[in-house]
Amino acid sequence: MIKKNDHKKAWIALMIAVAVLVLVGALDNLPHVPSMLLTVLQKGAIYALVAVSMNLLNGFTGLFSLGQAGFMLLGAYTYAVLTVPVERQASVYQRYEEGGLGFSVTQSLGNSMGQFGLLLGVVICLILAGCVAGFFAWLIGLPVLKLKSDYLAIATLGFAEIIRAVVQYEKLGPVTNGSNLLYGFTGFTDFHLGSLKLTTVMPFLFSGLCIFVVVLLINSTYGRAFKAIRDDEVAAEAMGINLAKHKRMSFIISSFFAGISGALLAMFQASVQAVAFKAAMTYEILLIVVIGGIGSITGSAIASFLFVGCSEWGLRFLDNETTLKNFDAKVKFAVIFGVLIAAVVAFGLLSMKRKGEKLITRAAQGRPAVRWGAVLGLAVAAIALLWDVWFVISPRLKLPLLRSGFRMVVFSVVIMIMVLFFREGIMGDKELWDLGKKKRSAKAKAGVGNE
Amino acid sequence: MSENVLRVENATMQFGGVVAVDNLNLEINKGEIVSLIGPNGAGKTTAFNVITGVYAPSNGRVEFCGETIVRNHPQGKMKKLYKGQNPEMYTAAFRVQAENAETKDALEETEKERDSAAFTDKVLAPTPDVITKLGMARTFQNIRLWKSQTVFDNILIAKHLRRTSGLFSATFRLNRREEAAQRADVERLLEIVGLSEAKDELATSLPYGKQRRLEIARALATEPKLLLLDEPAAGMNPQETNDLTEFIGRIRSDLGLTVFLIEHHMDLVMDISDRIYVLDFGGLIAKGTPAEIQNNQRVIDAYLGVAEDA
Repeated sequence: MIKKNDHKKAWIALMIAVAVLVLVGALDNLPHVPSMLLTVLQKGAIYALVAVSMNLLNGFTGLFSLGQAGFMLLGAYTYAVLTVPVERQASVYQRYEEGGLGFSVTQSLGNSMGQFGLLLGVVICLILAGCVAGFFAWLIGLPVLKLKSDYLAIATLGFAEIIRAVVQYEKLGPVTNGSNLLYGFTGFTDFHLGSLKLTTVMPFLFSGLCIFVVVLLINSTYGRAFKAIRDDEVAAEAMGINLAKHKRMSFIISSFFAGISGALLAMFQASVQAVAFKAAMTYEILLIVVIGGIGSITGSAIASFLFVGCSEWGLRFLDNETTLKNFDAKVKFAVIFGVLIAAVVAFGLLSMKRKGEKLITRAAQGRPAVRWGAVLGLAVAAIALLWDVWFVISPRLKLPLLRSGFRMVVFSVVIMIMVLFFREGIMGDKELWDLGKKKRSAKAKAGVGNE
Repeated sequence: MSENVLRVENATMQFGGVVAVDNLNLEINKGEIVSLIGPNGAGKTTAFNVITGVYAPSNGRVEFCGETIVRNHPQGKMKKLYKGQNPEMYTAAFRVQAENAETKDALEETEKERDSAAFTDKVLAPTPDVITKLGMARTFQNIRLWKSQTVFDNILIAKHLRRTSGLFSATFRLNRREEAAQRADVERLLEIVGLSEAKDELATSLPYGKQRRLEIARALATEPKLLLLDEPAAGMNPQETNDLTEFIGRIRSDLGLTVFLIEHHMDLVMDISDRIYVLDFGGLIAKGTPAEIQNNQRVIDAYLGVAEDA
């Protein structure tokens, strides 16, 4: 009975996966699809994998690690070094005599077996990229995993920075090309099926497969042990779960997939440079994990597309200094801004009303209790509206605040608001497929209550 | 003579300058229900933690099913601070001294002591999980269930340590048979503790008494030989306590378990215990059958206090 149900679920999942791949493939090949959309989809798929790998560690095993960028860098460099075509190695490694490996995995396999060989080569290199990251995770895991929470975060963050410095070390130049770009290696654009482009399909395929493996892992007996460690370490150990072994396992697996996603990112960008893998990258991934919900795979995936969509596309305008064209445009802007503020205020007041909270609670005796947080929020909204009116009246056309870097400020504000008010994130620790279940059981309970 | 399951020898646990457990000696035989009682702060839970490997004792030895699982002697800082007894007994120096003893008297004396100390070079368990694997499972005084997991999963996770499948086969579902066997076993345990109906509920949404039962079921899932219960009846009403008494008796007879428990409910303790150990200020003040303990003056004094000038 249970088995049949499982088979049905597996079929549904497979159908959805195929449907998504076909849809993405269609977007790849149809005319007039904005290239920005494809970029967002590709990068979103890759970031989804990193976020899931970070979630495996932070959300499912309860180890707060900030080393993700370091492991991505290891993966990206492993992949790039292995796949730079032989004839381009001279120009890529121009600062180093006899730089480069002298062979390229994807090139040799691709030449002998065509597209299939190329795919095989990429898969081999991706796995190697993951293994290198995993090996380093094992190495630093030996001392570092003995640390608890914040100390672990600091140690892993430090490790990521060290890796970044080591890769740029001059003496390693013949392999890593020092602090210079690595480019020219096999990327997503090299994949096609006949005349069909597969540029966006490939990251979806790779990332989807990896995430699928993580989901399988999390629902296996080992995944359950990870969750037990997260919930209560003492109880987990008392029930015979070897803490050191399982923490190391989770750390290595998480890093393995971070390495793969680093390699995918390299393929997406078509170039790698160590400078890009800063703590800011880990911060972005952390943002995705928090927004998606710590302990939710689907949450991480959704949030990753949302985040990449916003940062690459939707909120780009925040980084550009903008001057409005004329008075009409200004009025339009002011109206939209005012409506937005009003909507936020209305939403806040409504949710307060639903919870039965009041701005000022009159006590029978003594001073009335005031909700200063809500009052402050109202005050800020009032000031924003006043500024809106003033902006319309004033002769200025240039929008304030908008300049390079403001986007990150907005993101930081978003994460602060999330952490303060919506700690659960989009999904909490639920998965998409749990949502139906929850409602059903709630309904069942209500039904029992009515009887 | 029945088979010895647990033997604690000269166990002393000292935190800084505080001796929490002082030279504790106890043994438990197969199939017995043994209680450890004593006033608050007597060191009962610390004794449990020493036995299950949460703390390494400052001095002493713990033997489980005939094998030494923990042995320690005061070392490092503790060497100076140590206030307990027999600080030399478990050091290598003691053994050498015992072997070199020349006079007949000294030889006899040291041999006697050596036999009681029973040196073995193998110490099996550095961490609690290894001890659990050997067959000793426990519950906690303040319930420690995995909060975000369902009742079913709480028990299923405890079956993890008996797995034979590796990471790879578990991830890619090549262990279906084992998984199915585990799940069937969990169903059986749920049946035994009477929680089958609540199996899909969150562990924390259960009422208190049922959470305690779930914790026992979780401990049973590790397939123990010896079950340690830390105040299983804490916070239970008389009815629930009666049920629990019956339940503990049943798991002993049905599953052939040995049970060692800490408890404050004297009705329960006197009802089901074969033997009782009484701790006060870390030290053992009495041991014996329930009837003996009830009439022991030192125990009565420890619980009721002694008038200064009496």
